[in-house]
Amino acid sequence: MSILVPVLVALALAVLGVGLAQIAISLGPVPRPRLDRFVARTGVRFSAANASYVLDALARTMRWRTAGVVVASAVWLAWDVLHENVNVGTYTGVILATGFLVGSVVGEVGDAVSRGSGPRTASLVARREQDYVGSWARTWPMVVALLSLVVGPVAAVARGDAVSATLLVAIVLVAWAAGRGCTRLILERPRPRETDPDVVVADDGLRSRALHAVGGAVVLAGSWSAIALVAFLLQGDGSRDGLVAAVALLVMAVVARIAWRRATAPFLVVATLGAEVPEPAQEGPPT
Amino acid sequence: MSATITVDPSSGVPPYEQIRAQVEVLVNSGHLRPGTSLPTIRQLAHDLGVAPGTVQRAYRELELGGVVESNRRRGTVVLEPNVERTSRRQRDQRLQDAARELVATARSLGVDLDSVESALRGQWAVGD
Repeated sequence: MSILVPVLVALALAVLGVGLAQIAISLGPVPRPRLDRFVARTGVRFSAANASYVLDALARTMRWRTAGVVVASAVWLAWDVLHENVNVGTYTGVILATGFLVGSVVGEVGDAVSRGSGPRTASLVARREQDYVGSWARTWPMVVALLSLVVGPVAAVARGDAVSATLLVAIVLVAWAAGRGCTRLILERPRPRETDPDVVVADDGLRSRALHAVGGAVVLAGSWSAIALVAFLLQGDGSRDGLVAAVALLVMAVVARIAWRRATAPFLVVATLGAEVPEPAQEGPPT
Repeated sequence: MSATITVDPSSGVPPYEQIRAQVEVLVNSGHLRPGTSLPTIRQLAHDLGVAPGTVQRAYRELELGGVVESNRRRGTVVLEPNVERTSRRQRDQRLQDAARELVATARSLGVDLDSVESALRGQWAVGD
């Protein structure tokens, strides 16, 4: 056993401690700044009618996203401890982004709306993706998926390592497919039974927030995997590996920044049931 | 105005028929304009708390009635209200009402179906 192992274990325990603390925080009440950000981005009026609905959704998604990143961190550290090597590189980003994506998707799947009995009213307005999130959430992952399908085979042949290339392409494609499936699920999940306009508008705001978060997570996981794939293709001769890794990490940071801005951009949604909100959906400037 | 429909599970009318009838009324009254895409089957089913098959059947009936058409690209889309189709339905409805009245009268008089048919043929011949 090398002397590095105790250091790695200590590092792993420290990171897991931070992660568990984050999970503990996420189990508590929704912080006021988080609620304020949601209200500012979606234009939802937070009221007594929609308070519990909004807070439940914010708390649930916050918990699952945190859990996704913490579990991904644990996987990354466990891998490094087993291999006695601290490796912070493109793969680290891919693992963390995948964890965030999984947490985001599970948080939305876990949404539950009370059904109850008695008559139910529904709007005949189709909920379309473009009414809740910009076109970037649909086109960006598709472009990345196509790019990875082109680069993947080239990288597998050039590097003589089909497993790594296939794994990265698979992550891109699975992220894209998970994003599509989750988008459909978010759009088609039931409206709350309450027809109070504040609840309807909050429901639209939460759908928009969910689609932005999942879209951002898909962009992040897919793009980072594609960048790791390109870096994998360009590395190999040893002389420029460090430069390629540095440039790849820089590009990943830029992509993360863009994805974050997209995912947190204000977006007003037209309410589709009961509420009079005449303006069409519009995408505001990123904040 | 936003077009909404309500399904009452305790009603004697099957849920698919409640959906079909309300959508048809909204189309014929102009509240749902031609070219409007209806919600996906799963969206409407989840919102109404019914099985997807119920909405699917309602959409299929509406499609057979020429009220909507299903399209892989655009989903289920509202068609132009068909005046001829509407008036035919109204005509059929009036005929059914008249027949019901005639049967009720015949039964109260104690006459059989042959007598009713004979009287109908007589009246029909007068009309010619």
